[in-house]
Amino acid sequence: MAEKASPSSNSISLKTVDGKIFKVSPAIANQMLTIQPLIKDSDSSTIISLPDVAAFHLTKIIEYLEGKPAAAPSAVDAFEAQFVKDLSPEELKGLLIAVGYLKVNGLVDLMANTVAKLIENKSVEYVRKFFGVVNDFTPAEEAKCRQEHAWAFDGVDED
Amino acid sequence: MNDDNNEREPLIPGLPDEVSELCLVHLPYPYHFLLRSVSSSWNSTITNPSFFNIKQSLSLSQSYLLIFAFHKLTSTIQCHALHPSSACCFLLPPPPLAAISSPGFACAALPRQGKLFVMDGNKSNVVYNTAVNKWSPASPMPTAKSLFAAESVNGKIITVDGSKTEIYYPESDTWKIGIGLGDELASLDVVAVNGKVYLTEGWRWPFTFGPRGWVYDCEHDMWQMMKKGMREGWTGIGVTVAGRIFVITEYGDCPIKVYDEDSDTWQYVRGDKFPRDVMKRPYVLRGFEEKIYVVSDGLNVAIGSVVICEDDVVRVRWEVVEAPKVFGELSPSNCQVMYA
Repeated sequence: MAEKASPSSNSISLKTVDGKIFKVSPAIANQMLTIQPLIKDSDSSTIISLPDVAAFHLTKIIEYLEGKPAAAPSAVDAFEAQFVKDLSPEELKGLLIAVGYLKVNGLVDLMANTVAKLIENKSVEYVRKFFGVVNDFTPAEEAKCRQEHAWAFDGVDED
Repeated sequence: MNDDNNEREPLIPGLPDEVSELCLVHLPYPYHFLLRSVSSSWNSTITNPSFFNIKQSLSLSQSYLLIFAFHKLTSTIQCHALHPSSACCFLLPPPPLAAISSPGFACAALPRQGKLFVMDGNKSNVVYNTAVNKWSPASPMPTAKSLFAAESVNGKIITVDGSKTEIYYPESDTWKIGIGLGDELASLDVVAVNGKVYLTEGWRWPFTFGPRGWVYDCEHDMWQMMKKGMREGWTGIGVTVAGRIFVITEYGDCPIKVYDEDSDTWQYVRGDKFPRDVMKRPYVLRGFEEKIYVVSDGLNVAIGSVVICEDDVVRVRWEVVEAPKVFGELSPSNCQVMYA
């Protein structure tokens, strides 16, 4: 008897900004909250474009969603530590932006925490440069702000 | 500075602000204050009161030990914040009090709100808020005091000295005058637990008479005499942990005792010996969430984890966080534990 393939067996095609196409299962795609509404209306011929996500980042996101253990918190911690271990600061920042755009379950929090650790003992100048934040303070405003927390400026890491 | 959300720059270019903010709430106290200076949108996000609430709701806030210490060379009071598990220590901005000197000031904290109240004998009352890392003035104490103490009980701050009992309500920033003890005290040691404040004058030379002691019932605004066994066995500095009252005795190896209300007796606790070798007097104590924090001269900190076993045997395990050598000239006056 012929049966229609159940919708859950359809794979979803995602196209990254650098032109690579990834086929993922709906279970994986559904954990990217930003594209959830698009999945409902899509069939196997639909390709969802991700303008802010590069292939490298999507590979990592899929690796995370497929590999994350469902079991004990200690296993999750170990998996997450391993997941971010070999990434450079630039790669972590890029991944945070990709994950923030896609709103990936669980991974947003991990990346926010990991990136926070990168900048937690860095100078203001380092943080501005790292994220490309433009200093929009007037010199007087900035001096006042720094003065209020002068005590915290001792002993930050070398940039 | 620009607080208008529609016009302000994104916190991090390319990232939705809610994700950037999540990143910032992961920064531990007090580093995020340093990063206020990155841009005006970072500044307004970090100093917004909702920032601390988000941190609390995600269980990202951690407990810090705030230590008031007297600097012997400059005769000033400094306030240090210690993160016990990383042993990181930070100097807080100085409290805006004309002159605070030990023991002429008292402190009490509302740990979960990240608020610390410091009152000096001239009725001044200031509050430090970990959410903004700033001191601000609060409604002054009704009566000037010299030798007094403060404890927080159910969200209120109870200040006591020999004659007056004055209660501060942080929510409304108001004071109420309670029933006074009506006596003169030569010294005092005060702890609070289960809605009651325990005050003892302590043993005094030449030890001919037993020490005097009283208990204040906050709900009924009423003072009673402290039980005899409790008064006489209170042979050191008191602290409350896990609903029980402990003293670190001031003789020998500083054994720790715990009070048993039913039998009106003090029992020695089991477990580790108090780390006397690194902990030189004077001590200040604070109990918080099953732990006793003891700060010594030079700001070494001993943290005692209290376990109450089934047969009511109490055990304590000690860990020491040694202070940097530069703290050698600091002598502790008071300590509080709070979330930040």
